[in-house]
Amino acid sequence: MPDTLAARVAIPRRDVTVDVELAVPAGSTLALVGPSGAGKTTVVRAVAGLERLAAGRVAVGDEVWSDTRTGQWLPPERRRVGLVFQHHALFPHLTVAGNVAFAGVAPEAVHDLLHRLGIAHLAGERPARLSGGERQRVALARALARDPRVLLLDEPMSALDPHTRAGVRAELRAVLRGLEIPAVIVTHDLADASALADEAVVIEAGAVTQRGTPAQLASAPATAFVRALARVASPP
Amino acid sequence: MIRAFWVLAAVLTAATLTFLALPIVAVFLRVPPGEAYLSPVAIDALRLTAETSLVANAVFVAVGTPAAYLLAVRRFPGRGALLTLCELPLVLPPAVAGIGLLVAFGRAGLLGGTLDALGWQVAFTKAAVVLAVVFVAGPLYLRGAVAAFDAVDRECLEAARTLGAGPGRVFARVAVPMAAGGLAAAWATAFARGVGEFGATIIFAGSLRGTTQTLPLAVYSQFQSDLDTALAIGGLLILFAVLVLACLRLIPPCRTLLRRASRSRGATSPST
Repeated sequence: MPDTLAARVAIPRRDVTVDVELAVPAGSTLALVGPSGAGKTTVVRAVAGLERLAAGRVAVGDEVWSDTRTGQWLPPERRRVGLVFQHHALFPHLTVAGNVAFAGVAPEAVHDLLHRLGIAHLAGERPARLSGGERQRVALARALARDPRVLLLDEPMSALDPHTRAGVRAELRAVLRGLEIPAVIVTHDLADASALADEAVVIEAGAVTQRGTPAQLASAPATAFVRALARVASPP
Repeated sequence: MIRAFWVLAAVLTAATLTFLALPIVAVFLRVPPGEAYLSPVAIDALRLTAETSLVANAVFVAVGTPAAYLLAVRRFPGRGALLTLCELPLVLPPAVAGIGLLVAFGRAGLLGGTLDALGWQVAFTKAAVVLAVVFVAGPLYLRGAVAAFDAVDRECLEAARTLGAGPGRVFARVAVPMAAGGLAAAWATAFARGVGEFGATIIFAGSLRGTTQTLPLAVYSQFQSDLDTALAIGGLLILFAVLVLACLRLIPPCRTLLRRASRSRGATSPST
């Protein structure tokens, strides 16, 4: 049964303390927007269990993944989270099908996923032979193979060239629209956020500086950073 | 002026290569292939070296691989000191390593009483040869394996965790295959060092033919009585060293070939 992701992530970093609270209902996508080093990736990694919380709580529905008050902490392998890494992190020694099957799914399910993402013909290829867009789709297929309760995408399009980016964005939107789980996408591009997310949270220096729909952010930017983003997304 | 420089460099290179090659060539010129290579002393030493090397290599690969993984991927206080400690045997004079092993595992050593009580005598046995090789060559493998695991993309290890793999499965299915080239190179270097081990072995294990006399010890022993046999055994060790170097050179191309082979297999079976 689909559930809401509710998280408060507080982690001190070397240069900034990240303290962010977010709630993402099932079937909707939240964009974490902010400059480099603001703490967006830290939040996503903490939800996935790759970072320990100094304070806070991560829960999906009734299932608590981390809670510093009670000392609860589930390791990443027990969280059923799909994470697409910025540089895809595909296993170079495995084929595309092997990468997807790593999540522990049957060969038929692997084939279905590859077919759904239009990469069934690449099943026997190694990641090194794939284009940026193809790698991105493999990473997404692999994350979905986990049958996740939450989908996390860390700057999934930053490694793509502008031409590929538009196509992948459209494909990603179709996939996200078809999911019934909460999804979080990290981006520093308001155009990506507008195309993919229902809501956006702006993180600057570890703290939330604005929340709203991407359209609200663009029309009423609260900080200089959001203003600059809006200008880039829709130049005069 | 430029031409003169390159001529001088070429002369110096030729002189270096001649100096390095001369002793090796001299061994084979003095003892051409023949019976000396198959003398009973050489055969015994070869057999013993093979046996003890096999066990020692199995020990340091089995213990050293997970240890290297831990040292490479985890950050903890004292990690630097631990890495330095692991590398210490590499810079110790072999004779010191031998004496150290003797006073640790010998009859009058630190653990001698305990081992005696258990009915195990280590010094001057095959076990001593194995321990000496593990002590001297193991750190070489460990150091190479740490570097190999260090080079593995951390995000791949993390991705494996998010895909449901526990630490053991991440190690076996992702870290080891991704570090395989570096691990093989580290092993080949350590293996060669172990086969050539002399100083620690002669002090800790002695040089008893058929029991503790490995190939390098046989060279030393025969040198005093039968120079041709000593040279023949030396020739065997040179051939072995050439083989190891060739393997090291071949590792990356071998991996490429394997990759190509499995890619063509994968292309014909999409569900692999």
